[in-house]
Amino acid sequence: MTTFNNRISKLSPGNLFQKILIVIFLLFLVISIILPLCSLFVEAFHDKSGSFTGIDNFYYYFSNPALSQSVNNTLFISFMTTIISVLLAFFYAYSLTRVKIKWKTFFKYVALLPLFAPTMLQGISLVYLFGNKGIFTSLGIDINLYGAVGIIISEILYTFPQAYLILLVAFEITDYRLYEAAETLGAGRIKQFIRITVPSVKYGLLSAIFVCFTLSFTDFGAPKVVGGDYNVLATDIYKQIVGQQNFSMGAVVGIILLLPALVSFTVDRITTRKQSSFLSSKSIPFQFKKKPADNLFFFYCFVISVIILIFFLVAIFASLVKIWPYNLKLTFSHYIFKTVSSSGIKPYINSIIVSFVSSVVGTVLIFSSAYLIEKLKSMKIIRQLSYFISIIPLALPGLIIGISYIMFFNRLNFNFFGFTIPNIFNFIYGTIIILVLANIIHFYSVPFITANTALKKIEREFENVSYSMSIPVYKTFLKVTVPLSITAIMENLMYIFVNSMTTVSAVIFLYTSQLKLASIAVIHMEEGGSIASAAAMANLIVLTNVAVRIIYEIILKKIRRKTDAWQKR
Amino acid sequence: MSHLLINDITKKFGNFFALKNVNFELEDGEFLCLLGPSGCGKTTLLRIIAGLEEPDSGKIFLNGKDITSVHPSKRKFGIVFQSYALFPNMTAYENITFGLKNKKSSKNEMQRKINELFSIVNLDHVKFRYPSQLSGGEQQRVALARALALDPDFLLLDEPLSALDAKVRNKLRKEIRETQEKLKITTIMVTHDQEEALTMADRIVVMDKGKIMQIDIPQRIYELPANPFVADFIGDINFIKDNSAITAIRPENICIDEKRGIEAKVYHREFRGAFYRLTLCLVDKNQMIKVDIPSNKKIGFLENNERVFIELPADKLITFKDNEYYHDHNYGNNNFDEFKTKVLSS
Ligand SMILES: Nc1ncnc2c1ncn2[C@@H]1O[C@H](COP(=O)(O)OP(=O)(O)OP(=O)(O)O)[C@@H](O)[C@H]1O
Ligand SMILES: [Mg+2]
Repeated sequence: MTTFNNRISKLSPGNLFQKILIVIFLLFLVISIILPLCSLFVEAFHDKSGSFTGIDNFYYYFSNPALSQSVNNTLFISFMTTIISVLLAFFYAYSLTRVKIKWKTFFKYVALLPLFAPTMLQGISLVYLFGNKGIFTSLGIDINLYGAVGIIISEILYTFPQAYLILLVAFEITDYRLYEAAETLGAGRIKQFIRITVPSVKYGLLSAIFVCFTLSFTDFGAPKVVGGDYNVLATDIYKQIVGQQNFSMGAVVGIILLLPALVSFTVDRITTRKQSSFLSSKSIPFQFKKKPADNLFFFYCFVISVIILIFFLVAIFASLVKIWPYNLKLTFSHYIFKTVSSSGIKPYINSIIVSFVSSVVGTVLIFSSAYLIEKLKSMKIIRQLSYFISIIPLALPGLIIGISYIMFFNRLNFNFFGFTIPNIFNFIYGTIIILVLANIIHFYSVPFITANTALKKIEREFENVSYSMSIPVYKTFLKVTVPLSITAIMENLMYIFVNSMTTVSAVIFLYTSQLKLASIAVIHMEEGGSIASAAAMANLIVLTNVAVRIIYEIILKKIRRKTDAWQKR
Repeated sequence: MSHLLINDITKKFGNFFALKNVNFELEDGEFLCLLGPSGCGKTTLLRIIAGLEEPDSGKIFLNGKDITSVHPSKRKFGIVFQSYALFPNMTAYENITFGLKNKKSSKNEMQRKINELFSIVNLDHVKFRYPSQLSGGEQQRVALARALALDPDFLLLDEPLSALDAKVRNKLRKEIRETQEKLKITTIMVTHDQEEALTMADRIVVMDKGKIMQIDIPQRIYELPANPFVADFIGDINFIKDNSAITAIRPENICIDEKRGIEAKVYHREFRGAFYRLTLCLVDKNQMIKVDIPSNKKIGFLENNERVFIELPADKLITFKDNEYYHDHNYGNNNFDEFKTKVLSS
């Protein structure tokens, strides 16, 4: 006869552990997202000495023409970048999905290249081409690089792959039957384009527009390198906080910086919901037919990918010659960073360590939390709250994370209505922990959504099967759920690693001289005039990321070979 | 020995009663079917028995012990889920042995157990295939073997055959029943297929809208349905209204005669293989009636609109203690009006 020691299913050990875990995850999210943001908002309404001033800080900001000019500048940059970048990406994605052209794989990968580089790299190459000693400048072609022109070109390169990826997905999910119908009705290519293609990708287009706008609105790297005296919000914040230690004003700029991201966030939430409904189960994938203007599209893709490649090749070449453009003798001397910076190669090593830890810890954390949010049966409110907080970082530019972390974690204690509460989290300030934490939170939402989507596809009964077979839930999690989600997990690992390698915006406020990162070293060397070494360091970042990506593809292929067996019918 | 008592179980989803005061008992080694239309609460009841769902009120007793809030893993119930829920990343073999490895049984014993299982469910040739490489019937047997692997005291099956085509379904009905008898394992099977319930079950629990309509052996459920719902849900039936009293009769129990009996006209004739299904119109009663006649019996050449006579043998007439459910459903023959305009007026 069976004995029943474990009464009340709610309190069985496995379940209780899961419940405690989900509460811990929620606390983690609150401490690392909500509380720092609150500190930022509180700071914006106080003056330097800490007394409440209402909206005085905002008033001061907008009445100071030198400061508020930055708002206009940033808006201008973002508008220009968005228009050009989305247009370019639109036709690029169109060519790759709707036109029969050669070299598709090549074009696809080249377009992704900028994702592997810190945004300073584009700036540095621009300097080599059009800067004071640039080749084109020396040929008499002066485009007035330092300022709006340089920033816009860099931002276009930076945002192009993001827009392209969004539009690629949008184009790929169109139903070919619409085109067949149009063809039988005698509609020509241009008419088809206007009446079918554009409407069918409208949500993707909208999403791309907002993403490009937000990214260029908040980017720090490019304006730092090619901005000259042209002030934008991102560099202002840096000056306010790092230069003048004016936290209140930094917080004010931060809140302004947050606005387009909030709009973008809302739009994104709405469009992803709408877009998925566009495809019916009977949709037919697009079929290519040869058409007259095909060569034009090939030429278009060719030119764009060549331009992207030039930027990377210039950075590589310039880092390998003695003195650009006067002495073109090849040398590795710029890769010996000791000569220009006391920390030498160490920032690069630090970057790899921080990115690796961020990616592993982040992926484990995000996947387990997504699992509990998706599969736990009880604690509905906690799960919904956790889900909501998990997608907030989508709206948070790195700069906001950086400054809100200073404001929260650097405090020794908080004052609440006369009570003084010591800040027990202060100890992570100035350590590697805060860098890792900032990266994980900065890149939290995309992997979270990836994990959530993957988990949604997994049969709901598996947990029940394991109950009925007395298999502990953790075993089913490790032996079934994880293997079934392995591609999503791999994708998340790579995503966090690559982004942690290239990012500047959050960590620039948080690093210490012991823990300098490669991307920050790029900025410092560029500031110090060692532009070739800056290029060299940026190249190391790109090289590492490309290598990681290749390893990822190889492992993925191996995994696919295995998973194919149980996915094929 | 295992004896299960379901005592007054009620389950609500919001304001909706999925189960209302459900009571029944299960004997050792019995094969019980939960039968009812889609959405009547069969799965919910099964999940409550398995411990995957908690009832709002009522209790479940196993051998006299209250197990209502015992964790599912402690109940020793093997479950086959409606969707099978096989682990797609494991072969048939791995699926079945996944739970075994968790028990501290000796290697030899485990191997013997596994071999026995595979021969019972007849899966030797597909041992190392993944679920996606198995046919529906094979997947079903893997799910069954997995549920049996841990020597459960009870077997719970949720529509184990509904995803299969008719031929395979017939074969597996027999296989499941044979396995169950061989292992003498007490089983509850959910189904919405009356034929499945009638052929497989020792006893059937007929449910509708979260309530139990009747519990009995298959023959009595068919011959003596407790109420009009059961009569109509299982098999075909004619309801005959006499003032307020309602009687019913199965189509195959009606006799047809050329001269004597109740006068009727042929409305429609359908060949169904083993029998002809006639739809007749009782002129005096303003009612349509279904009659089945074995096709090996000469029925002459009954043409549409032809006059015949029927007899309703008294010992085959069904009366109900409880007519309550008659009025909930639309059992009357609506096409009588159509018949009137089409046939009688001509
Ligand atoms: N988690 C739930 N929340 C709300 N309603 C539910 C839930 N689970 C089941 N129901 C409802 O309870 C009723 C009974 O559901 P149940 O799954 O038990 O039906 P069933 O008899 O198994 O039907 P089927 O034959 O279609 O499987 C249905 O109306 C269903 O919509
Ligand atoms: Mg069901």
